Amino acid sequence: MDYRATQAFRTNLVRVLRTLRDSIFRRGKATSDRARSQAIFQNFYWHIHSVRVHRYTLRPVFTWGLGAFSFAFFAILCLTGILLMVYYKPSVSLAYDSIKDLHYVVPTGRFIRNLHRWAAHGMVVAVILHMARVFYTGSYRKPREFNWLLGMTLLVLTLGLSFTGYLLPWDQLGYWATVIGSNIAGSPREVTDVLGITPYFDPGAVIRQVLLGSNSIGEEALIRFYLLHVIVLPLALGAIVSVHFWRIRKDGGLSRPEHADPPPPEQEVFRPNKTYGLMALVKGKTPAVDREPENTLPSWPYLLLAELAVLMLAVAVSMVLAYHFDAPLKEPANPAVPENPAKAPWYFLGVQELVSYSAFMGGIGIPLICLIGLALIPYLDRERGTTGVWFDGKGGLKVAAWSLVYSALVVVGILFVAIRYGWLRNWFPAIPQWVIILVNPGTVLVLAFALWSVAVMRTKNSTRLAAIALFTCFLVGFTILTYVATIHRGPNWEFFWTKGDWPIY
Amino acid sequence: MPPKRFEDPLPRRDFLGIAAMGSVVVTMSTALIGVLRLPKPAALPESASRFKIGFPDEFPPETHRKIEDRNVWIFRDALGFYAFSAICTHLGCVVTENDRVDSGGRVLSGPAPRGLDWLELSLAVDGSLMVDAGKTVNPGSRFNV
Amino acid sequence: MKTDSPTLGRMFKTIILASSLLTLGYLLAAALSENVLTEWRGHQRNYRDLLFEKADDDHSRRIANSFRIELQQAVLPAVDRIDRCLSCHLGVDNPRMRDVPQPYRVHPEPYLMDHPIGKFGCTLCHQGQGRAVKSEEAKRGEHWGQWLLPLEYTQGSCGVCHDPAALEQKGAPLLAQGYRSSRDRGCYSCHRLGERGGAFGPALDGVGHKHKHFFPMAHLEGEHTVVNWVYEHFLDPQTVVPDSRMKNTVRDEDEARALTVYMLSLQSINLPEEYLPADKYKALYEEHDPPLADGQALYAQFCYGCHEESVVGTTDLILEKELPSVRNPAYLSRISDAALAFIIRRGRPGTEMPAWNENAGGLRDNEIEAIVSYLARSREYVSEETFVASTPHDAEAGRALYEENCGACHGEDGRGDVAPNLVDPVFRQIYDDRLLGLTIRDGIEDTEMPPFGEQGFELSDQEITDIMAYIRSL
Repeated sequence: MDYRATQAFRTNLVRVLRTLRDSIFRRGKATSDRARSQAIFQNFYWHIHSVRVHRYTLRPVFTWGLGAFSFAFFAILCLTGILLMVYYKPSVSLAYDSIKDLHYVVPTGRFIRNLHRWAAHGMVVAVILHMARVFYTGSYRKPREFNWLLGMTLLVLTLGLSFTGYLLPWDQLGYWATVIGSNIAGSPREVTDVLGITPYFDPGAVIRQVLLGSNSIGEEALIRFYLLHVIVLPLALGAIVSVHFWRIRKDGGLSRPEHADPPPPEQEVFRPNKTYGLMALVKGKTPAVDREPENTLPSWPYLLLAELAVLMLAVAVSMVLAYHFDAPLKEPANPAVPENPAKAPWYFLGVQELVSYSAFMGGIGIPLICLIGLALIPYLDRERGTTGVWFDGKGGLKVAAWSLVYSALVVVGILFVAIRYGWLRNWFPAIPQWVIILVNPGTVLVLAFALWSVAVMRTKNSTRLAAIALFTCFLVGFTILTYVATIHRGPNWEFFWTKGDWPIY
Repeated sequence: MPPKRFEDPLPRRDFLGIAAMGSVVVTMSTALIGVLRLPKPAALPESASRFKIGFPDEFPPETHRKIEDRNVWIFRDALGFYAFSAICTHLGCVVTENDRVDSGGRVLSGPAPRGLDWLELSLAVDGSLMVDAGKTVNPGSRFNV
Repeated sequence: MKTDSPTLGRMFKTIILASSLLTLGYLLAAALSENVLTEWRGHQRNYRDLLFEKADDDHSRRIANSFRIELQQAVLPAVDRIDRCLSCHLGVDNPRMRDVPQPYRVHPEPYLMDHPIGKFGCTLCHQGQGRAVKSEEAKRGEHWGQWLLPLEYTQGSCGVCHDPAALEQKGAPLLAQGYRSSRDRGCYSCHRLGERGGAFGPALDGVGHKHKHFFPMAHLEGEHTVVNWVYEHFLDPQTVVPDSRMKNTVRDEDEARALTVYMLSLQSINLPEEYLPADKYKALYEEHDPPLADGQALYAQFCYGCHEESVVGTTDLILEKELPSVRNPAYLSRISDAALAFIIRRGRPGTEMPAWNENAGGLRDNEIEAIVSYLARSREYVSEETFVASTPHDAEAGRALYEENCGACHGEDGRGDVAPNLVDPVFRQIYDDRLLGLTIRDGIEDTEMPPFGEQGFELSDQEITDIMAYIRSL
């Protein structure tokens, strides 16, 4: 009898663990560049990276890892979010108690909720800074225009995610912030009122009803916000983020300036008659010797290390904050007792400041103008300048600095006037609403910024510099308005230097 | 001098690398342990498994009573008190008085793998009789005050 | 910055090492503080020691031995509560824990006998945040509306389930006293409770379960708690709420405390049937179908708050006006019972006097009749005098006379200033020629209304008729 099959079986049985390992990790330790490449493109999760990455891309001072930070926070949010869903009950009568239980008796519950809260703040900050980085390094230029648009979508989704999460604990903070948010959504009424068509056509009410499922915030609104927060928006964000990543590779990796690569050798070694695209191993069609690969590093391990570093930093920051500062949970939502001041989440406070002048302009008009303006940047500025360099070098830095000074003066000036002396309605009480909609501190700001940008375009003869001027104004305006609304606005949205000056209620 | 064409292979003894990866593994495992503890509630949103049923003299000898909301039978015979759960040991259905068990909770017919669980009785600090639905005792044992 | 691979690699690895070690440290700290250093675990360890210390027989030693450190809670789905106070207050049902410090001490008798913790929990009586497991947050959570009641006010919670009147001798004398005071002091002249009461002040339903944000705390000295607010507000309403129109009617601090306790019992929370004792059912039934009380009690409950004794002229310092002296003999000598009942039923629209009929203030006709018959007890005689209005009359001449003699008190427009309103529809209907004429001519003795006829300002009947004509033209 031939027992070979039995013997083989026995050997296989003994080796089953080793062969199992080898079937998963096909290569051993990556000691050669070839092995490193294979480590990337043979792995399902890592093959989204190119196998080699440019040295310039890995310079921390170029990207500051902000895109990766955004994604790392998103990952933390997904994980902690799923954990919170184990105990959270999206029902008006149960939601608040379930958060209380998470706080008091669920093992690690309080910590996980704090993590979720801080990672959410972290993600908003990282996304905004990431946008600023991409803008200031001119990385939105061809061929990356569409990826910039995807990024804008991701910004909106991030804010939407954060905002929908606000209501879920069903406490006073979230409830009244949502009252404000939903009324902003309903503010087209201001325009239809002016036009006198509200009884026939009221888009504000329609938006509000679609958002809230009712005319007031109750069970319907809670379940809708929950649905948006845990399914719709995360799925949308995940899908678009994948495209965002994919486009990075298809657009040739992160942007980098011309000088990042040394000049080509004077004499090429050979010029083949026929050229081959070599997958992602080498970019371009010419295997130009001593030209391409030497300025790149293998993604395994360098890019992966960089990404891990960012992930761990994001985890560490969230952990430290979560340990020291509890996520707020105020009194149970009570429609009879308004919070005063009722404030939206911090990243909407700049908008809320504008809303205090005109609900439609501040809440919909100006944000829409900003979003459209930002989205159009890559299509209106098509200069082929020094892509991949912060501020395009010294000239841009100077414009940015002057824009900072100018916009800070303008914002503070207009706020000073509006706070100290009031606005049109205080001077001419009978003034019609349409004048206020058109002329209010918010629109005046937008106009001042636009004029400045046009002035820069004319004097410097550059659309890129005009864009830098406008974007800087936008960032400064956003920052100052957010700061004033966060720190200096008290009950009835009046101005106070410190919270200690608030009247006691 | 142009940059080198190929990178050096990874250093053989990369202490920093090993420490970094090791700390990541340890940290993430610790976090995972914490996370895994979350789904197991520390305080169940239901009444405690131990509950008082009244003072012993409320149960005259040779009587029995069902604690309805807890599905527990309390008996007192000449030997003392005993209690058993009315939850069937097969698949958790509730046994009624004239089902397939006798007054000792023994199975008379049906698929139940063992008799009904006899529960631990004790005296609470204030002298009342207390049942612990989470602790079983040997069938046949009695509790005496 | 150098971007050669060893430098980059080293940098990334250093960041990874540092941040993961930092994270690990925080994870361990969090694990330690959540699982070992918690306040309630410390209390449970102390309590276990106490159990051993107090153990003097096999039974108590067995209990001490079997003590497990774990969260203790009373789960009360019927009243939508989970009270975890028991995680620290471990000895509430242990008679051996008499002379030990809190939170281990046994609950005073006999409350737990009738109110087993398994059914009533803790917060139903004591308030506080039942779900919390840290003592500070359980007693006075920053964002929790119902703070732990001070011990002397806990009686208030008895009134949630019980009829306060039934508890005089049964553990809640302060509550019973407050309940009586609230009726004797005329609280319901201005405040509504349930179906009955005036509308001059805010309704009192659920006042004992309201969040502290409902109470304007700005001018409250001392602790900003609901209990303190209600107490101080009874003692001196205008100090706590500067523009308050509440009368300061409490006798002393004891009465203020009793009334505060009673206010705390007004919680308007729906409890399942099995929580309500028989006395409550009776009280609830009587609330909807009150037995006919005597007129004096009804007057004290619904009228006294504004009219007070009302035999001689009453100046209301808060309204800054003279109130009709409804028990004044001279007033009563001219006005009929039917007219009084009509005024009570309909009120005086445009003044602070509300309508008290069943659809408004909630009094039934027989109760209004009882009040009228109580008022009528002060009628010493029935005036047989008559006033014959002269014809013709001249409202224009009356105008000058009105402005000279009446306007200063009754207001130029007759709508009342310090003296009552003369133009509201109920007044017009009741004050016929005789009643109005006599009142102007002879005044109302012992009140601020002087006689304008021959005993006083010497107006002739013709002039008085002119004034009446003018008043009716207003």
